[in-house]
Amino acid sequence: MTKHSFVSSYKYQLRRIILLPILTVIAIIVFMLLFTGFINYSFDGVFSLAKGGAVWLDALAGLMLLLFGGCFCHEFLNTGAANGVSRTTTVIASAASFFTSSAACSAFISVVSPLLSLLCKESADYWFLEIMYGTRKFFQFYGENPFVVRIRFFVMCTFMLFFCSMFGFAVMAIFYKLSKRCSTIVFTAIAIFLVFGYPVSNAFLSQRGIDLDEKLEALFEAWCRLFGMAHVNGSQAGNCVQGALIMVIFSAVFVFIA
Amino acid sequence: MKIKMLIPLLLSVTALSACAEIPPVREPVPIEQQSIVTPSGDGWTAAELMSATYFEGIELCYPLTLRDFGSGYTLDYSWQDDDGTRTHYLVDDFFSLEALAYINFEHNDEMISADEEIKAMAVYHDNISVNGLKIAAAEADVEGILGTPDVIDDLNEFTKRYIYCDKETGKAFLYIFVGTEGKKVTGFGFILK
Repeated sequence: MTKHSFVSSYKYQLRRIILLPILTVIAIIVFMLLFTGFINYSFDGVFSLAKGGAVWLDALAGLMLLLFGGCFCHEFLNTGAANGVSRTTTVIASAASFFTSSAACSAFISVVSPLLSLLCKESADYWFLEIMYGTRKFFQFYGENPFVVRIRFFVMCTFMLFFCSMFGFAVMAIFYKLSKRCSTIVFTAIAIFLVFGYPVSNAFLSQRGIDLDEKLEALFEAWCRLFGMAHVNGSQAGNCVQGALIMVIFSAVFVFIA
Repeated sequence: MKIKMLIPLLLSVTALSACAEIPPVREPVPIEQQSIVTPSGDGWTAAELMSATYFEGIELCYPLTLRDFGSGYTLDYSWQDDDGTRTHYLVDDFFSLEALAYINFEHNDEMISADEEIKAMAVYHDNISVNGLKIAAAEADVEGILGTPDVIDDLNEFTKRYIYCDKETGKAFLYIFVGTEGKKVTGFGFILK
């Protein structure tokens, strides 16, 4: 990997995804307005999703970046291959470009979320990350500066969006290697598992005296503890450092897989 | 380059996370270990009764602050009366629509400090024990457990109040609400400041 090939790949990819943060947030807002407008059939109802301060742009942005990470994977890999850039360089450049995009997206959410709450006449704007790592009010009660709290959630949001985009990228990178027949089989198997996996497994295991719900709950709790989330240990505050570190480690694993 | 960018970011997150002095989670005291004090006959001080009061199994104290509840609880929603008095909801769950307790402070600002003394607290759930007296206890148990109150009056046509004053200051600090129909304890109110 040469510096020139990395920088060129990074610049090209960044140009391709430069509008990603704006498009993500706009798409989410449009989706929210259409969804709530359709449900409520009234102009007032359009803003009902924001009542209670629940404007979870960061969670929906994570979902969007997961999809975008998958969508751009094959294009980046193909373009890199066509220009004689090694796959390693392309993937590392993709990680860098998606991290930059995640930071930009996170900054955009930091500005849009409170504005949207003001527009909807709500006094609070909540991030999904506040459910996972403790609300901003909670940290401010214990003496933390409001600006510092917002910076922390901005940083956490960046890592979360990067984690989501790399997950999508890694999944599609696996399919990049597979033939069309294998890809079709794997996609079908995933779809069948998502629909029938739980009920069939539950029926199978319950006949053998194993409570699948209990196992899934224990697994979910273990994952939450691994990511340092709040509430698992009874506290309102999560461990942001642990969460950020785990997200970075998993992102690195996804990059390695890709 | 990626690592060089990530390390300062991680360090900044570490530094930022160290800015708040968040208390540990306070574990509830088992019921059999909760202290019960025999009323002396000449009344209570606020400190004496608060030390025999357990909220969600957590021993309270006097004076009381948000920090004393531990990091398992926080103030979520708050609303203001017409006279400007702000009441905060004490919750343990972000999604909870019900308050475990209602808390007032000296001032009526939305933002408070965790070390600020609570002015008043009201509890209407079966999550509190005042010297062994709980919600839905019989009216007769109030005097049996806490002794003779300083004042008994009617809050309204549905609710009676048993008022206990601090024997040192003479100021009312504990209100016990009893339903006139079912004759059971329906709530507790603490005036702590």
